[in-house]
Amino acid sequence: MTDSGDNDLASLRLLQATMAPGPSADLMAAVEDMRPVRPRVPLRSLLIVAAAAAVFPVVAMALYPLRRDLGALPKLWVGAVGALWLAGFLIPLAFAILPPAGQVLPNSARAGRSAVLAGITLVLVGLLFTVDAPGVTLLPPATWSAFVHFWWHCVSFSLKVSIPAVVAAAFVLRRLKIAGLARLGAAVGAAAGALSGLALHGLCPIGGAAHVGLAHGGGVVIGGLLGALWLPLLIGLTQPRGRG
Amino acid sequence: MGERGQAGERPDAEAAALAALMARYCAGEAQAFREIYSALAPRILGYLAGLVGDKATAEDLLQLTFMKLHQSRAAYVKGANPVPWLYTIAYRTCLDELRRRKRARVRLSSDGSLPREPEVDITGSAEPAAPVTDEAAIARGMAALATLPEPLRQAVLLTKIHGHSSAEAASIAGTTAGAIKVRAHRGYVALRRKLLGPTAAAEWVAS
Repeated sequence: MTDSGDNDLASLRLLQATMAPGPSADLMAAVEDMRPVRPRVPLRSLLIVAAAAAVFPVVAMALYPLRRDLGALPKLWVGAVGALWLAGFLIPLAFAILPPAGQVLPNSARAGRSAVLAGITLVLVGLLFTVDAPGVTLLPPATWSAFVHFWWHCVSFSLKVSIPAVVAAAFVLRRLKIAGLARLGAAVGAAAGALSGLALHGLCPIGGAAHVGLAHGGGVVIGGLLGALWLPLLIGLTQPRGRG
Repeated sequence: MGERGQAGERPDAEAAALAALMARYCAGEAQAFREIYSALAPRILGYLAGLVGDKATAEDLLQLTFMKLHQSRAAYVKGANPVPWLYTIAYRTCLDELRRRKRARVRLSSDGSLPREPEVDITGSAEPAAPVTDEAAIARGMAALATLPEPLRQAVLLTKIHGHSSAEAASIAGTTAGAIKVRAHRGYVALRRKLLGPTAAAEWVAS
């Protein structure tokens, strides 16, 4: 039993390389007819997705006034928080779109981890380290309805940033035949949520740790969930039906 | 077939040579495609055969995999190693095929007719065969492999048989390196238990 089993186990080594038939006639016909193509430039893909995410925040910053308490807030805090939210945008987006050196595909596990980390960090920073300017910052009435009203206002802003980013990511990643699309989508959505949070820190007049943590930070979480659900669906829609 | 992480030991020269071939292929050279096919088709076929447990289906999937590579060649990144990408395409092609088979079974039960199998026209010449000493042993090994759940089977194939590192296998499967390590270990223990009996498997785990 054991000798025979050893032989069976060792025989699986033959699966390292099995006698293969030559390319089919259909395949060779397609190859003989091919035109030259330009290989993908991942940095260009990154810029396309970043630009799609930036459209709404840039328009909003151009159209709406900055929050009235911005000048009264500590400059160091404003700079640190701005840098953190910017990192929350750039790092997950880079992990979702750029492959590691020498590879064709982005590392979906790394992208997924960065999305989770960005979501947790930015919610906690909002809840624990929000600074208000007493007498200048607008604080909403302490009621559920007011909280939900302003929460939805900021989360809907985040969705307007996340949706174009996820659509653009589906466009640039559609030909990659990659596994782990949900993780990549989570990273793109979370990154877009962080960019919207960055813009909201400059625009949203509402203060208070609960609003900043759960509405601005919540945009990162909701963007990540939306990306995880939508990116595989959108890429699935672009794939040909049936075999081949 | 023990614990290995050969990706680092594999000569970089192979990756560089394949990257150069891919560059020529993207530039429109059909001969470069033939060379890529000769170099990688046996490995990909072995991987697919291990995943689906049926050589005829694996040969069909091999053609589809290379067709998808051809259709997606513009997604290649200049200078990158195409091997993990090709394994990923093969895996996705295999998953699509398994889903298609599932749907085909549902159609058969509803209207009672057999779905027509697509014709595969393979006219190319065969590559030189790897020395196969015992067809029955291979069949028993593949049968045991086929009993493993798909994630465990894939992890065993990628790491224990095809020698990819956990990180490479994770990238191919779209999961984490930690998950691949756990699946490969559990899958290999289960495989040894099936082929060698519970005592040998327990001894191997203890060692």
